Amino acid sequence: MSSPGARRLVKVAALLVVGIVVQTTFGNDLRVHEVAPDFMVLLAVTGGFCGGPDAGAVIGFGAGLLADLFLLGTPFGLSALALCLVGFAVGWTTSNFMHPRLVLAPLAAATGTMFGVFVFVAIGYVLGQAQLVAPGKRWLLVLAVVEAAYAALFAVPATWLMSLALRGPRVPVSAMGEVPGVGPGEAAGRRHAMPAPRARRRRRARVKVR
Amino acid sequence: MAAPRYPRGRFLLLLLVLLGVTLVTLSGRSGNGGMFARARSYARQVIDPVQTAIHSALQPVGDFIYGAVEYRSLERQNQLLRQQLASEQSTFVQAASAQAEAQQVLAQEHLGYLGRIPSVAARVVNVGGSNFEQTVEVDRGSADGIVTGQPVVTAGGLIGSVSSVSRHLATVTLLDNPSFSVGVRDTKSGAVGVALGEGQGNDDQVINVNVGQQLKKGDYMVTSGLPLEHFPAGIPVGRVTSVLAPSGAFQLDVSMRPMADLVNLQFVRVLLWSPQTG
Repeated sequence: MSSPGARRLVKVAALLVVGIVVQTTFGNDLRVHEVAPDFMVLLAVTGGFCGGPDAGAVIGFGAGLLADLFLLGTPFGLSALALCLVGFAVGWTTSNFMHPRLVLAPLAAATGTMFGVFVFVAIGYVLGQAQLVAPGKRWLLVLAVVEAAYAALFAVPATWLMSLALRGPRVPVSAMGEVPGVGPGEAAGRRHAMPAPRARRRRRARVKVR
Repeated sequence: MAAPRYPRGRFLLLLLVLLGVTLVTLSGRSGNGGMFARARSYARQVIDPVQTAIHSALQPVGDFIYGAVEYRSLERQNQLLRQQLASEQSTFVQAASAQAEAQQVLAQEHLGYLGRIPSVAARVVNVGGSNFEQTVEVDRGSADGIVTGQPVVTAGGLIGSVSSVSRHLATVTLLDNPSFSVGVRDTKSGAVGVALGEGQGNDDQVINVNVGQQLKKGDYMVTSGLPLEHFPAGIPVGRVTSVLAPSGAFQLDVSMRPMADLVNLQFVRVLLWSPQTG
């Protein structure tokens, strides 16, 4: 239990439990156009944003499993499947195309959440859950937009909490590559998530600039 | 030289996807029972006390944000209420509200259409946890004799059925939930069909009504109570809003609006009824 990996796992699990409690209590009262925020999608997105594709997939899967425990109309595992893909996709995009700055968290959260809604509905529909598309395309769009807006609103605290949960052993930031705007925990996550050759190239480039 | 990371990452993703698909398949095969239903029931049972405590503590915050978001509509409502208040010259608003609540409960005490079916009164304590489901939670559970599948009604008529039960809470899937279906009968013509939920705010669709049936807009629909139905006969369900007969079709295209108000639910009655016991 004392290993950094186990500690990180416990912290992320605790964050997910807090997330589902908040979702089933506070979240359901925050309805705009009858749409409530989805904190579990947000946690999957921030998992990928802070920890990279691997961590994003695992955190997304865990968040989805917890969400599935409180859903009745869809088969168990559907949210886990969808959020796992969302976490991986956000992590992969962040690792390859952008620096995980905190100021970019709302944008990533909104885009990731919108993607998450469509992935959930698409997979559900393929697996025979036709009721997910029954209310119509317009409603689905409203749902995705409102959920994305909520995700953008709560992105900064959620990203900060996720970066705390993913924080590994203390390593000097300079030794692993600068990640502006986020804590060393995210940098540690990125160090593992980023492909090694790419990270080495960036580090060499930085040394040349100095 | 470090091994490339991505193949392992892809393997992990593949593993998780396979695990997810397996869970979905097993869940689909086990239907409404099995270990997944039990896991969901236990999860609700565990979270019930936490949820209730946090919900009551955070309710004012939720109300505040709702008020901020729906400010304009609330302001209009407020103005209307002020006018009503002035015209009525009523000073006992709180008493009137309490009286209205009591009337709601009393109105559900003697529902004519229930006959001798035993029932349990319950208060709605929470709305559903997903944007893809129209559900509410009520403060009665298995300790009060509630089991999955029992019909739930208000003074207006059928609102749904119990879909999950923990010891002191039950989740009710509402009539407009897209996966909800109930057999209905037109009170005038006797035509029978199946009403399907179409999502919040949308009229239910009534299928399996053959062309030639004398169904008209404005007709009332009640539960059909046919053999193998999950609801007793004669509970008001909705009112027909449109009847279309597409050319060449064998069945009518019928829409129906639920009689009961599914949005502002406060008190409901769970019927302790099952198709087996009657």
